[in-house]
Amino acid sequence: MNLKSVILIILQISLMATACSDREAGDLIKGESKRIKEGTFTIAILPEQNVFEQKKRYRPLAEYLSDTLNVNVKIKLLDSYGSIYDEIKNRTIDAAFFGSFNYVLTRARTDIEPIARPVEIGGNSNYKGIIFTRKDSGLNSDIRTWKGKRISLVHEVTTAGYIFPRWYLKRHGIDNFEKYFRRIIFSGSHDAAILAVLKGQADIGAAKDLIFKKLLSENPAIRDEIVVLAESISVPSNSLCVRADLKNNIKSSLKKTLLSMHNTDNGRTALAALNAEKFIETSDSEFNELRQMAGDIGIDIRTYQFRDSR
Amino acid sequence: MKRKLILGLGLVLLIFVISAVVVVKNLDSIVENQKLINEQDLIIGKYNEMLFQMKGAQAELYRHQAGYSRNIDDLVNYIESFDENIDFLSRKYSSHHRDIACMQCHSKIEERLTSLSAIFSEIENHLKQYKQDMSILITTDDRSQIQILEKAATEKGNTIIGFLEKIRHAADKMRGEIKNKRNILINRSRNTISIAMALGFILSMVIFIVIIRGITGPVNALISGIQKIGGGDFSQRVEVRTKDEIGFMAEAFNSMTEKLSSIMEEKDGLLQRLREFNEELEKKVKDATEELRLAHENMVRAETLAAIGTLAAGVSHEISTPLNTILGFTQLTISGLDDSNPIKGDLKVIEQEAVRCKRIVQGLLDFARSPRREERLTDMNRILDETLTLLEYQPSMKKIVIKRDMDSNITPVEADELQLKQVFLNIILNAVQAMPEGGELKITTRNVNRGVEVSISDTGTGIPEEERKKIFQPFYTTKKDGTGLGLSISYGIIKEHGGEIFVESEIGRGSRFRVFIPVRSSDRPLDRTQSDMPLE
Repeated sequence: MNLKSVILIILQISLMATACSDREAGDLIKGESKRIKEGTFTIAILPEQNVFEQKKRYRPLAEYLSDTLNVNVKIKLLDSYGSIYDEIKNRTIDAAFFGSFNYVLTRARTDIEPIARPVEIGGNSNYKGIIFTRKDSGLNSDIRTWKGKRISLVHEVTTAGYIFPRWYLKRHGIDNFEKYFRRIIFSGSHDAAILAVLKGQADIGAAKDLIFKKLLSENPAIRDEIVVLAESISVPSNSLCVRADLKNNIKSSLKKTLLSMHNTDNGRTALAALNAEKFIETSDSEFNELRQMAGDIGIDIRTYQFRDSR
Repeated sequence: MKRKLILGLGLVLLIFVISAVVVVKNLDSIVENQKLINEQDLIIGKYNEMLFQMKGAQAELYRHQAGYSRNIDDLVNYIESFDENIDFLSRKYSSHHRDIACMQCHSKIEERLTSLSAIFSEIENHLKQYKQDMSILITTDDRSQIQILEKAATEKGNTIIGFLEKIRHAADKMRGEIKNKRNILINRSRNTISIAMALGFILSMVIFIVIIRGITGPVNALISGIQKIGGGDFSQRVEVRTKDEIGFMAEAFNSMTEKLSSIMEEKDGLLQRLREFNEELEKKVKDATEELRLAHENMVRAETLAAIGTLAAGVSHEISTPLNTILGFTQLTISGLDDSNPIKGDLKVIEQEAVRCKRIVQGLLDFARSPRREERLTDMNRILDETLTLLEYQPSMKKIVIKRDMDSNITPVEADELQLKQVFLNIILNAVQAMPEGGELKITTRNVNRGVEVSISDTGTGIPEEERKKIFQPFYTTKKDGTGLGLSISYGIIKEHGGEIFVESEIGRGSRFRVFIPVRSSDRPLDRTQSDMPLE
């Protein structure tokens, strides 16, 4: 081994050491600079299903909107369908994904504007209310078998989780909905309502078909345990509505962003979390059938009292 | 030396590299353990956070149920954060399952992780149920359901809290163990590093000293050798056995010393020879100076002799007239007397002596005559006879026996008689002087190839070898009153006649001079009238 080789080896060793420390330093320095955004835009999310799931589903959308609109879009999880009206009224939120009946109620009392709603992968932008039971419950589509049973509902302001089963019974001649069942459980979310039936806490339940399908896909065993007894008409899926007093440019840019987000990669990623392929425009007239349904069961949408409304 | 230095440096570097590898390995382990501890800290932090979240969720739930608040955001946020933390921890632990490669060392931790995983899945199951219950509890208004769910939620919450505390306790314990292990590792690493450093240092020093000695030893030997040679000891050799530059230098140095030594010897020889040559030269100069001095003396003497010769010639001329008169009157008187007259006998004696005087005077006159050369056919025997006649009356001749062995048919040669007489006179006088106690003088003549040879030998003391070479040099003489010119002049005369003169001698037995005179083609047989010329 000559002098040169020895020096080379020493150099290599020291270079290796330097390279290691450089790499570590590089890792520390590495990081994305975040833009500082002015103002906050709060979107409320109903507990349509498990609140943790809801957060997970809507967070990518909030991030996408933040980046695109250059405003801090914040997700506010609501613990009840009933609180959305107060939130709008008190201006603690700027927008919310409204359930269809919730929209109808709120629209009747305060000024909100529907902007857009997601189209589920497969092209469906509506949903139906379903009434279901466990296969071994002995119940069937004959409502007489339902009498005196425990029913698991979602909330008084949900179409699928309250209005439809009530309307369904009314159509079958039952006026006193509350008395027809031994016990009415308001589980607060569609998945909880389904789970209550699945776990035997209730005999019959009513919920949104979309959530039922989602649970089926996550846990196919449910298909053998639950049987659907009735289905409602189609109503628009949860739509994003904004306070009408917001500036027009905000409303228009929000609408524009939502309607075009499927054209960008980031947009598609956010849509995928929602299990949606795009957003479409929603108009107030699409809820007319629902208004009719509410009228059929004697609900005055302007004076209707419901839980968690202050 | 360069190779030694590189080898030494390489070894030292190798030691340090090995030490560095050991240190790095240990540091890696420490870092790895520290990472685990950090992770444990993070996890424990998470447990605390989760405990707070779960308790916060419980509190929020109570607040909601008691109707203090309808806000469920905080509640949901607590649970969501709790959920995220559970996810994070599960992932962390599952990543550990992959990370831990050395199952042997971490088998206990592994076991614990496995049991922790079970607890996590328990918590997750409980949480799932808890979330479901809580959601219904929040949204429902069914009193009986609320009661059941409130109880269930409280129980589940407490169970989850119980689990969390259990896990936290386990994590605390694990962290403690890992910390202990890390501390042990740190201590071990410290010792290893110290030993590696000390060993590295000592080995480096040893190598350094060995190398320095390996370099300075031969260098010192070399310096010592150089100093000794500087002091003049050329026999000095440097003892370096290394095969490096120093060895090469020492070899070159030794070779240089050898050459230097031989050059010095050669120089000494040359100096010796020079000294001898110098001595010889000095001797020669001394001899030459002595010879010059003698020559000078002889020149003075020669001049004196020449003057005496002139005087002798004058005196001889003056004496010859009265002598002739005496002889004439004596002969006249004799002729007038009878043989019976007793005076006649006396007169005869007078006549004889007068004739002898006349010859002597004539000889002197001849000798003193100018050296004008007059060559003519000469009978060598006659010349020798006349020369002997001149000498017969010398007292020194009385003890000498003269032997003549002359060839009567000797070929006459073209020569200057007087000069030849002078030559023979000189040789004979020398021979006589070499025999002070008497002896035999032998005169021989004979014809030889293309000339005649005259040999004059004596039975005297002989001439030493060294003197023999010098006797023909001018002014060289061994006699007290000699001029040193006799033989020199003789040599010159013979050479002028185209002849040669040789000398042979033997110490204690005598010497022999041989004179060769060439016979020219024009030389004719001897004319007696010429050869019997009177002295005058």
